[in-house]
Amino acid sequence: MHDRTRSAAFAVTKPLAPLTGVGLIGLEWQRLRRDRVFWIAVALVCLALWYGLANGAAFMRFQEQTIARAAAIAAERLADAKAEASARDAAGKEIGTFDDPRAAVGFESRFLRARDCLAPTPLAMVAVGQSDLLPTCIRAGIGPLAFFTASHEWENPLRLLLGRFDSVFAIVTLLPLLALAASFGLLAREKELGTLPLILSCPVPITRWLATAYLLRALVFIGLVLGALILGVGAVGFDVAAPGALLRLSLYAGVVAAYLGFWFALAFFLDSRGGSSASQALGFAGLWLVLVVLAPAALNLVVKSLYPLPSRIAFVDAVRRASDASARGASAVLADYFHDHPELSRGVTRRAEIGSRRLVVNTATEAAARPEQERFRRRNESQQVVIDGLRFLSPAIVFQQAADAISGNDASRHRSFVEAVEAHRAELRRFLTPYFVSDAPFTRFDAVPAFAYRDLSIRMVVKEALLGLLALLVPCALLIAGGIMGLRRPLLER
Amino acid sequence: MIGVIARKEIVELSRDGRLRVSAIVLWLLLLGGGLLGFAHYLDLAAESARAQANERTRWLEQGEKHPHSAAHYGVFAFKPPRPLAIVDSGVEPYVGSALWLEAHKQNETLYRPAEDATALQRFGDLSIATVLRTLAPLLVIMLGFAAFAGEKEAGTLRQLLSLGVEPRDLLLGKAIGIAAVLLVVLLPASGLVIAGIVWLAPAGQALDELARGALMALVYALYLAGVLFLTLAVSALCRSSRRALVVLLAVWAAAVLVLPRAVSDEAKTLYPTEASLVLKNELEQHLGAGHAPLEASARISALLEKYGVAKPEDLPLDLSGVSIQDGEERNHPVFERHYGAFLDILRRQDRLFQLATLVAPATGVQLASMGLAGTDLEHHQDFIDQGEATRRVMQAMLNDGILAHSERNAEGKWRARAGRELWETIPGFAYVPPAWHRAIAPYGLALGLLVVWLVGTFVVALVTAGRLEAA
Repeated sequence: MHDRTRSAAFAVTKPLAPLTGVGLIGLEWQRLRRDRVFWIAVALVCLALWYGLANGAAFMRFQEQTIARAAAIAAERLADAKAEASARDAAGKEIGTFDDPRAAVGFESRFLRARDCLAPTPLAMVAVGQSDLLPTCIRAGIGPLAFFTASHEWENPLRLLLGRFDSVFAIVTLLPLLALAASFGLLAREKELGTLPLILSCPVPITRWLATAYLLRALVFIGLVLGALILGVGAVGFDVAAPGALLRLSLYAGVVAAYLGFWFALAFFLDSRGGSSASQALGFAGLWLVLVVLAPAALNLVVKSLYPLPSRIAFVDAVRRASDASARGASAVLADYFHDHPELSRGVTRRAEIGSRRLVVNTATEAAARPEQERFRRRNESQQVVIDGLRFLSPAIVFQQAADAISGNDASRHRSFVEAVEAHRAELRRFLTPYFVSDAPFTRFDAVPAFAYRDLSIRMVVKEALLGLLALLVPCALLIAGGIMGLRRPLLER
Repeated sequence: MIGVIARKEIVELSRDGRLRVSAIVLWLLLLGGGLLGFAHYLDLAAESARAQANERTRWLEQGEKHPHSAAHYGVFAFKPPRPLAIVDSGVEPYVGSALWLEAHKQNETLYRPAEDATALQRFGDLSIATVLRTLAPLLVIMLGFAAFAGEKEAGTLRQLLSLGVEPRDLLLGKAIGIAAVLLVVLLPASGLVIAGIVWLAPAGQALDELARGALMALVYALYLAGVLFLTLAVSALCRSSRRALVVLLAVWAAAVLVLPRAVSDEAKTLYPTEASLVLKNELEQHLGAGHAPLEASARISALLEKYGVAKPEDLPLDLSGVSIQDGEERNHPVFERHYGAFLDILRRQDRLFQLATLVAPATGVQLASMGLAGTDLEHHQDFIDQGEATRRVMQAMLNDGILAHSERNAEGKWRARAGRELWETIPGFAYVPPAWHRAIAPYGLALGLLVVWLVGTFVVALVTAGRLEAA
């Protein structure tokens, strides 16, 4: 009934008069205005997008609060260390090395609670990405055995398994289906309703009519999605003044538009090939299933099979073996160390011996475990190379990678953060070593090196986003070209 | 009559080329998922066993030292994989499988595999369970969306009803026909998987794994039966097969893709958890010193009485063993309270997830499937609990070892040194999984609601089929 009304509107309100481009757009706009399914789809899109943004923003706030709490805890513990040191100095009483903030070992293990944290970018609310899985804050310190200290956020593993309903999920998974509901089989439906001859009798080439119909729907749909996105981002606390904020938002809007454009182009292409609207719906749903669900999962399987990661159980076993060997050889290593640093060996007491031994064991274990750690890193990089090369097989992967990079919640930004944490760890080690290996009281509480993270260049983000845009626009253009060519065939052949 | 209708449905469906292709794709996915899961299981099982054996060797060969040094040296407990993880890897990629058991601390599990994976992992694995939960319903929809709507379009429904065919018989016949086609696709795969799992099961656990596998098959059968009745109900309600297909795809997208994530996010909103660094800080603040003061120790009083001396310093023992054990026991309830409170929130979140079974049955099926596979939160917690129980026994024995091996040195100070004979008495870690009925017990609500949902879809299908007469 509803389809019949629309077709009648087209045929009756504008009879066989010549149509200009503007007139055709006006007519299609009238049809579109009356298309309830289209507007329901748009409403659902807005709801899904806003819900996703609200969830993303909630997680971003959680991260910001976590970072603030981390700073507060570090400051509290530092104040405790100073107070405890003063109290002990005043009492003049010796206490155990590990409880004493005046011993570097005690300060590091009991009072140093500084955490190196990765602040979310201004557009982090659009994609949770890998940030719920990888640690936001990592404890700063030089031991004991960072390999055996977990830094990840405590979270319900079921939630990690399911993933979050963020705006990327809404766009990658749901928007194509809703775009389908809003646009599929425009030509096929006219054919099924018997109104196609009326359209063909108008002095408008079918290619122009169908292109106008799809283009108008795509532009209105994408325009409304982008409007909802900007409104939503603004409503959940987007900081326009933050460095790079507007650039990131523009890039994200561009990638969203290109991704949705791909799906509209696919609907146009399928329509141009002919077939019933039901078979087109099935075809579109099938392609959606392949491109959004199966291809990423299959690529993941391929990547894991080509470059399987080493086992973490075997890694723990290897680190444990290395730690064992380091501890057994600590005396010899310590002797060598003092041989190399004779200035530190004078007057070594039991306290200094504890510190020296710990330092030596940790350093030796880290050195022995580094090749194992490197194996993981290299394998991970190999996997990423394969994904980068094959991501063009699925627009969902292209979009997800671009969105993660733009939001700053991608693995490469986290990798650069971990490198900065490792550099900070080395700096802390250099700072604390003289106090670990000597009996000199530790008093430089305020001179402990602070963590400074230099974020990835915005150019890398732009490059990743532009690559994503290109990877979405090329197939989009090919589908449109294929669709136009398909429409040039006589109707009976389709 | 039901048999005739079922046979007709089977013949018609078997002639549909698209369905044959879909069935083959589904089969390949099940087979691929199974084979990869199988290979992964074998690797993991071998690595876990090797690492646990190495750990035991290191423990035994750590040499002579103070028992408390051995306590700090500790041991690692490794979680062995479960055979049914081949079907459903559950939360395993998101929890660690290595737990360090050392003095004074109840540690967290380390190294979650997903942290090493690429972002593609978040699209999900194509495990057998994922295929059954998300893709098999699509096959059911494809098999059944035109069951009634197609007959309406072809005009054959009116003929059938005018011949006196009961709508109920029509419904049951079509349901049996579609289910038979579905069984042809799924039964061989299920049989292969269950046989493989029983073969892989560790000695003495084959029957338990068989019970778990059979129950899992039943849960998926109930789920897919519900999807089938829902498909037939929608097909009976809609005037065209196109509309039935669009409605069913929308329902599938909502129930399988949207609701599980939305419920998960709402669960976090309703039952929020604090940042882990805050929880860790609180735990650290509440934990007492590892070495408790001796003055208030009940153990000291008993020792004084046993040795017939008045003051602790007159006891012929190194009392640090008593002090450390008192410290350990004082901290047990602190760990239990802090970790327990966090676990309680996660269980509430999971309970909300169970409640969602009524509108999104995939959620309840997922929980029950993970529970039966031994890859859910409860099994992970069971591993942690068994690890902690081992740690406590180990610490108590080592602290007793301090008393038993103490002697004064030349300076008159207490020293304790123990060796292999003590290390051998400390039991190694061996994880024993809970029996199948304990595994499924936490998901009674989800299973109950799954049955309610199934009955509901059946009743709706009956009612809508009954109304066909008037159409």
